Amino acid sequence: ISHVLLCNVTQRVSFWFVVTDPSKNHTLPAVEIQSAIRMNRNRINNAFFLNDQTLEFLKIPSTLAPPTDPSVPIWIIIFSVIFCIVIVAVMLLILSGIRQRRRKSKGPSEVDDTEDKCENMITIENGIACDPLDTKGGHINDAFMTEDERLTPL
Amino acid sequence: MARAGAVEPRGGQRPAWANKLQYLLSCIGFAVGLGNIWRFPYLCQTYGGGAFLIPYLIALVLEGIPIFYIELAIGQRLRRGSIGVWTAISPYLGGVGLGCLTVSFLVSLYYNTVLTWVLWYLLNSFQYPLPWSSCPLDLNRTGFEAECQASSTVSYFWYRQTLNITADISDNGSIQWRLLACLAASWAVVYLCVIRGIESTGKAIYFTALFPYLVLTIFLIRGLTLPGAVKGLIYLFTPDVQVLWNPRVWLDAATQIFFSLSLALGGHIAFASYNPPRNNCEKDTVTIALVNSMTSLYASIAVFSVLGFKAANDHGHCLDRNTLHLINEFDFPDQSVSRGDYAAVLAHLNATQPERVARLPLEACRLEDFLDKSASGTGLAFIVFTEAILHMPGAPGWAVLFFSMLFTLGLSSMFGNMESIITPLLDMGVTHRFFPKEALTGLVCLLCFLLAICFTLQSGNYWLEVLDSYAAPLNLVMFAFLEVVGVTYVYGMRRFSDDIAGMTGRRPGLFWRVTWKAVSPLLLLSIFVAYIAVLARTPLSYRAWNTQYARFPLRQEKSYPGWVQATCVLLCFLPSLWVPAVALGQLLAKRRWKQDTWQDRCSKLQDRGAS
Repeated sequence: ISHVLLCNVTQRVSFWFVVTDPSKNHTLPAVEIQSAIRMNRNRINNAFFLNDQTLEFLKIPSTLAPPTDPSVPIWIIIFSVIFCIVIVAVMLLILSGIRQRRRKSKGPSEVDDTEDKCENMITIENGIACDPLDTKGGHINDAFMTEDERLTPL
Repeated sequence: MARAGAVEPRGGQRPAWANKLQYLLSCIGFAVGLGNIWRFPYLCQTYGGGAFLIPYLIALVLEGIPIFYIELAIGQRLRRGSIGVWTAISPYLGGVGLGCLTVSFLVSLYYNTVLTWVLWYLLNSFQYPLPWSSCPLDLNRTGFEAECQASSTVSYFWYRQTLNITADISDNGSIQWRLLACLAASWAVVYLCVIRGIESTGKAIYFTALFPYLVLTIFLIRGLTLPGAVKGLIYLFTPDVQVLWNPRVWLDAATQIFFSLSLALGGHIAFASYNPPRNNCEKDTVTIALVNSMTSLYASIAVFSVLGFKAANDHGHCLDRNTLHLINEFDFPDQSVSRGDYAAVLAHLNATQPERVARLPLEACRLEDFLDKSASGTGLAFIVFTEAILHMPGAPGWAVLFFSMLFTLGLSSMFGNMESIITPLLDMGVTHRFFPKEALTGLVCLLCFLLAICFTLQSGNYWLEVLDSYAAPLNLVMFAFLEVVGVTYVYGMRRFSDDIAGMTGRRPGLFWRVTWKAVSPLLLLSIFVAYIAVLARTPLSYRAWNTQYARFPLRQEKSYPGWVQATCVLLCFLPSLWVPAVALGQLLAKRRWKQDTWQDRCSKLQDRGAS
């Protein structure tokens, strides 16, 4: 390689520049240039295929891109979904519990209806459906005294 | 003797487990909790790796399993929660049940607060990039926040964006509304699962008890395939038998097995009280205890492999920074020194040009130093592990899996805690029989939620540490001691053996009788004394996160102010005061009964007979 002269060699590639205003024929003040560069940093970097770590402008600290902030924080979205599901489930359980209790207290009056309906071929004997007698729970026969009550209490 | 358990106080039948599996899963879920994940691996690592298993297994066999068997057997036999059981054994011992209830209540307060933090992290894991992967920017957007820059992104997210912690325990700060919302959500989830007692927890337990095992397996497979994991495993499990001479190891092993099995809280008694009378509780005991210990081991393998990966990662970055210094100084071509070549190149440079090498700010990069950085408790889950997850490909997915595993683990333990509060209340008949169980459960959950709001203050983490360190340990050891002595000597070994013969089909063998009569009470007594000795010697202090501290990001060691110290001391023995209080009350009642003259008593009897 010949006819290439180097001067003021520094460790890294660097240069000074000024920007002139063609119509008014004077250089623009440094402050304006600095703010312009700060606003368009990304475009200047891309023109050189460099980034903030490899292209440095002296006296212009690089502003960092803030992390993307969605308008609604993501955790609130998921929180509302979970909370709504839980509240709905709690309501359902409470309502079904109330309904079960109401059905239990209305229980004896419904036995008469099954006679008329005859839906699932319940065997009926003496007006009492046989099914409840076969279930595990059974009914408490109040005619029998439990063991504890055999002895008269003091 | 009146047949305790013959009549249900609220009328109707006592609820029962739908099947045996639900009962086993409930006990396993109660025993397997957050401590299996973040306390056992830390103890293994600190106390000589594989050598820690020796005192751990000895404590399990001599202390954990016998006390566990007593709890399950007495609950199943007397079919009552903790208060009913101890009142039935002897009216003077009723205070044990009340004390267990109090400690369970205190534990559930702060345990669910930990679940709140886990829920907060879980909710924040559904985004890429994860919020704890980068620092927020400072005011003029030219750099990062000073606090974050000085510590690390994960520490900043934990201490500032989650807890917003103050620098001192007496500085309460304000309620963090985000944590308040998560607290409400986690208590709502607990209420949803506990609403009908074992009917609802029995269905929820299938998921909450089994899901953690699935996730642990996934983490194990992923962890073992990460670079550096196997080296971490080998280093952390290599036994160092010298450590067994330190008596502190034995104390920590005994306390670990005690709290790992969740003994003396009354939860296992409550669960067993819903069993059918004929059920082999001996087999259940051994099964559940072994599953608990196996889970601890399994979890520690998964945790160590991920920690090994993190250590290898940090070690690699350290080498890279040193390599950059060398390349810049000696003008080597870029990327010419790989991590493997670093040691050889450094040795060569040290031999040829030692003065230039000495001037460089090289760090000492030893893999063992990174592996030795241990953490337990919330530090492991929220700082160390979250940072390790950041480096795994597909980080949000792993974060979601990890925190949902922690949440379900803690939830299944909360079921046991809530049952140990609600079952004795139901058995004591504090509410009218037409007062629905759902309402009682709701009231208890609401009360716990309102009291736990104080943990959402900015100083909440410090208060949680106070409660965690002082409320439970001593009291539970005391209650366990009274349990063993109460059943073995007050209830009578012969009567207990008859009961067990009725339930399991054969009388307890020599091993059980020896441990119940002698070994376990002595062990518990020595643990109690040793614990008091250790507590008396350590100054009551805590480590505060103080940004103004000279050596920030290290945490500042501060001693508790006087009133906090008084609270700690009170917490240590206040629940135990139920025992002498109830015993004294019974003594006074008996004496008043004896002081009535004969005529008064006879006339009273006549009046009652006539009615």
